[in-house]
Amino acid sequence: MPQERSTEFAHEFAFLAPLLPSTEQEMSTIAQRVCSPGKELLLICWHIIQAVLKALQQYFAAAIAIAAALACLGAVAFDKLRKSEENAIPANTSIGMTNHPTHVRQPESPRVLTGETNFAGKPVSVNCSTCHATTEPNLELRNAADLKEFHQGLHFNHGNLSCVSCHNPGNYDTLRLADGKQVEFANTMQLCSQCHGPQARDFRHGAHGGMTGHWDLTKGSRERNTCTDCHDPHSPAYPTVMPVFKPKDRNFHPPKAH
Amino acid sequence: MTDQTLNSPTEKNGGISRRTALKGIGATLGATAFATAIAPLTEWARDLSVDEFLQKHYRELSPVDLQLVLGRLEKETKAQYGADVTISDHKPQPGVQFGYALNLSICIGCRKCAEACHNENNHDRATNNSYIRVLEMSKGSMDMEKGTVNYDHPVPQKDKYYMPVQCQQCDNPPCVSVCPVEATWKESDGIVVVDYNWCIGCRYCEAACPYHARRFNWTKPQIPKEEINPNQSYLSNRIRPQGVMEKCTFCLHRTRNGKLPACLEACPTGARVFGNLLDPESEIRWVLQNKRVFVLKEELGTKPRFYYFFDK
Repeated sequence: MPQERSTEFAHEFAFLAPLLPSTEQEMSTIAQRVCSPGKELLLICWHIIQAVLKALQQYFAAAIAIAAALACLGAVAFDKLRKSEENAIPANTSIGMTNHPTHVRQPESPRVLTGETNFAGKPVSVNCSTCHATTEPNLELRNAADLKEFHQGLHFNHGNLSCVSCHNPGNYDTLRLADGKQVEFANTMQLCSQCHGPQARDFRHGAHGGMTGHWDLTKGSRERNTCTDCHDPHSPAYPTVMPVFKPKDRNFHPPKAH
Repeated sequence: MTDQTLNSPTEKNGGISRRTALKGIGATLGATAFATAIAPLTEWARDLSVDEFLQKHYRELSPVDLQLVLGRLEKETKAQYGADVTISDHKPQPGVQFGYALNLSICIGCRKCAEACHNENNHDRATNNSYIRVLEMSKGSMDMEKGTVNYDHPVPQKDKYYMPVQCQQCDNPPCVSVCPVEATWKESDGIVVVDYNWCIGCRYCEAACPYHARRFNWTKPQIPKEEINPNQSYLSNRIRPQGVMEKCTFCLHRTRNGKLPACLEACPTGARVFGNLLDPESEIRWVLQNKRVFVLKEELGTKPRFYYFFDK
């Protein structure tokens, strides 16, 4: 039975016959004609092909069975892998569910009030560059008291920085990083993160800075504060405040002094 | 004998004997005394409808019964407070275990969380009730019993730190084990809740809680109609009746819908971190894995779900 089946499958290979020489004699002539130095090699190749073909004819049925079995196993394994990947995802975030965005507020570019009002009675404000484009920057300025004109009364208490540590003397409508690269006011967080790495790391993991909205982003979005929402960049320590909402309950009266 | 009876003056005059009169007076006095004695009880039961009296335990209510109860409670709120509210039943979500962490390095003790809790959870306005107490602690001390809550000066003070304390949603909650009527229990997402309509107000749980996290409604909460938060849940912020216990529920009417708790949203410093403990990508998991975290009164074995940490 198996012999019969293999000859049956041999017909399947009939299309190969015109492509390959049938006898060794024929092959050697072809090989001679093609190139004499590679003759031996070509002959060996031909022998191998012949042997493989023969083996295929003999065991084609078995080969198909094995191939099918392997394919099945492969499919099952792939399926399992896919399923285990699905399971690895936390229970309440399912595949295909788009997460809502986390929106981090961005600081606006500051505008400076001139103290003038326009024809409609509205206060006139200008960009920083309106004055600074024509003013020579003082690169050594490190505290507010040394400011001769404008920005009077600015409270500065932020390490030993100079104005141009953060402000960009090339374009006062922007800021600059420590390497001199320009950065927009909207991306202030990038600037602050240069020195305040631990805070930036905690912020990235949701453990620094206030937020509102959803803990579960599959259900809704989240709004997060940026650095300057809570910290005045010129005096970043969180200010002292008066507490609200004094409790009136009976418990926890101040402990008696012993 | 017969003679005496026949000749008795009362029978003759058709009047009342001294004995009968005394009996009558005695009965009247007795009835009056009884009525006076039970007067507080009748006053207490005045608001109690038959439906409410016969209501089953929350966990034994069928979905149909529950809807009837919610409808009745909404109507009662309208009648007693004049406010249109929606009282829902927010169920725990599968695959969610809530956890909360608080950064003591950042908290400045401004008490905005306590205020937000007060407004969100429809607390009695007169008593400034809130599920959160912010303790002002001396640096170096970790004993919450030595904290003060009545501080009234600019914060933060140099030599102090501030520790807000609310329900720790313990995994081994003493308040639940002491309840004689099973009116309080732990839900599958970790939140300890109270069925306000099943609570008998014995206050055992208040005594059992090592974190002083439970509150008792000594009076019926008084809230102006326009200040009532209309988004309510049976197990959380619906207006509580008089004489029952209440506690922080991690704002389950918000958090079971994916929202952040009110105290977290109110925090101006971002000291609070909330999330799903089962989600390895969540903020709370990052804090637990990367910060020096501790729980209050760990030695009691209550296994809190509320963690505290310092930055440095």
